[in-house]
Amino acid sequence: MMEQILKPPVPAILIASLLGLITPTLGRYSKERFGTDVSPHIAIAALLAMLVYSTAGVAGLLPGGAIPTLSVDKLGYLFTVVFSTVGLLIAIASFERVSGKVNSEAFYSLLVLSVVGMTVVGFSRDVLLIFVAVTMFSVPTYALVALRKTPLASEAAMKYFVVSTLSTGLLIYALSIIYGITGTTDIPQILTRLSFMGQSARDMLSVGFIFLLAGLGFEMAIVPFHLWIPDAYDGAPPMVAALLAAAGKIAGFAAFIRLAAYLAPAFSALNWTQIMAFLALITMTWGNVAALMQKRFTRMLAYSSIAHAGYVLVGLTFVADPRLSIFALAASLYHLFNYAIMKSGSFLAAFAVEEGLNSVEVTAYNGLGRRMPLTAFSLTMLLLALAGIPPLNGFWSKVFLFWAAISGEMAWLAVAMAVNSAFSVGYYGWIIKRMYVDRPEAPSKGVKEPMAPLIAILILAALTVIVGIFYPQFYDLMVKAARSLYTTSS
Amino acid sequence: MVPVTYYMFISAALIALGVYGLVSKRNFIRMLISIEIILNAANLNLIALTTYGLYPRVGPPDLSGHVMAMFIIGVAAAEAAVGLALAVSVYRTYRTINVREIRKLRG
Repeated sequence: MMEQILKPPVPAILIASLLGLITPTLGRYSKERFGTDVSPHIAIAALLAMLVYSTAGVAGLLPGGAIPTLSVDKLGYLFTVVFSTVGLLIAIASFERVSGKVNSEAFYSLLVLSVVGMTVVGFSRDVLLIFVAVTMFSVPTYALVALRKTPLASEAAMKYFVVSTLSTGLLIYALSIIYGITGTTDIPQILTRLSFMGQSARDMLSVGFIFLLAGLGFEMAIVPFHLWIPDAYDGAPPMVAALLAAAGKIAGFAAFIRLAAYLAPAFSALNWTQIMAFLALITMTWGNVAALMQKRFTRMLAYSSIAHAGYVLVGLTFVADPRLSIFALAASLYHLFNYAIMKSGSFLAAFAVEEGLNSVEVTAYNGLGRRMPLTAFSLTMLLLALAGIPPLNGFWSKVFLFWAAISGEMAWLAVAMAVNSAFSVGYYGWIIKRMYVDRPEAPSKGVKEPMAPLIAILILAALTVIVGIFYPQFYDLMVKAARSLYTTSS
Repeated sequence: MVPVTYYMFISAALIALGVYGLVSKRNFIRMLISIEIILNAANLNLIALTTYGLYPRVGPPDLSGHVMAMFIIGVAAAEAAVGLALAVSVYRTYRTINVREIRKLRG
């Protein structure tokens, strides 16, 4: 028991969650203002430690292997890198805004706890643990969305709460069916037992799969389950929306990859490829069409995040095919990785503009190139990456996804993806045009750019270029991570 | 002995009831109760399937379904706590918890 607790990711997870739990009590049992002033530093230190630790894991410096309920592999470490990077940059970006204020301990402790929950999703190989970890990361985010006591934030929190609890309810129902068929909660064991079972078990499993798709579909923002996304991302404070969009959704995908993508060959009663391809098509088309019609920047980003979920599904379409599974999964992982960078950057830029100009309407972006030059420049890079313009990271992952669709002999899906991608340049370019061509409505004077968000946005904008230039190395990492899903799980 | 499929039918009926309540009720507290019904449907399913099993099994009985049910009870309590806090927060800003009247976010 003791040596299992000391095995690689477990101490890091325990220490980080402990720090997250301790920070709010600091303010209560110490001198006035001590807690509010210290809690941001503790949170940033915890998230930075997690980032360094998981980077070592991705580089292969930590021993891997399976321990009960966790599979310690590159895939888990890769997800941890994504979650801790997003969490760290959000903690830095909201430093000025939140630290020293009344709810500062609450904000930072909920942020750390949520990131820890997502990390556990990334490592888990047990259906019970997936359920507990999904709840562990989503419960803190309900409170985070409602942190500002404005009508919009309360409404967003309520909608998010209802949909998210419904999704966990459907998820646990699906897991109860899967458990009932196989009699085990260990995911690799489920796959092994299913291979000995007859047709009736497989038919029964397809019921479980449909509930699973509904449950995780809410978290992943797949189209029939996406209706809460714009409201929640728009009403939430932009830095919390960055956490939901860039980390929360990836945690949903992590659960889906660990569970459904791994079990995909067993879902033979349903045509996995057809279902996923169809969902990918409607998700990206709906997201892009709806994004074009938005008047608020955060709402536009919310719809574009739905479209990006569709692109990731293009890769997940082919995981049931043993010839293509690793390549397609790697392409999906690469797009998720890039998506986290681009989307957290765009939402943090929206946060910076909201700090500077007190608005998230698209009209506030008129003439931003002169009023907040550095923010506008980084946001331009991030939007170009989201649109998939060649030297930046978003282009390469889309190329790999395109290629996966071609190799899977689904040319129509590849064409649909290319058309969607070209279409999306329209609304991203429209914002860029507003920033550099249009004149601001109010008298144009320079605004002092908020320092803390700017640091985070500049780092993320630099990452879009770096990941874009060194794409073979990053793609290589993704292939290793994808391969580790299938190898370390016995 | 009652066949295990009866339990599964009741559980499916409960989840349908919960989803119906969630989409048709206007009071936020009633929606919270519907969510509890959904989670308890999963609980019933898990406990029945752990005890009787859907397919014949070999080896000693596996109790992880019971463990899962315990976890779900804990998680449901945590979600209800946050949900009620949200209801208070919504009531303070809107003076109502009728979800049809809380609609400032459109588009």
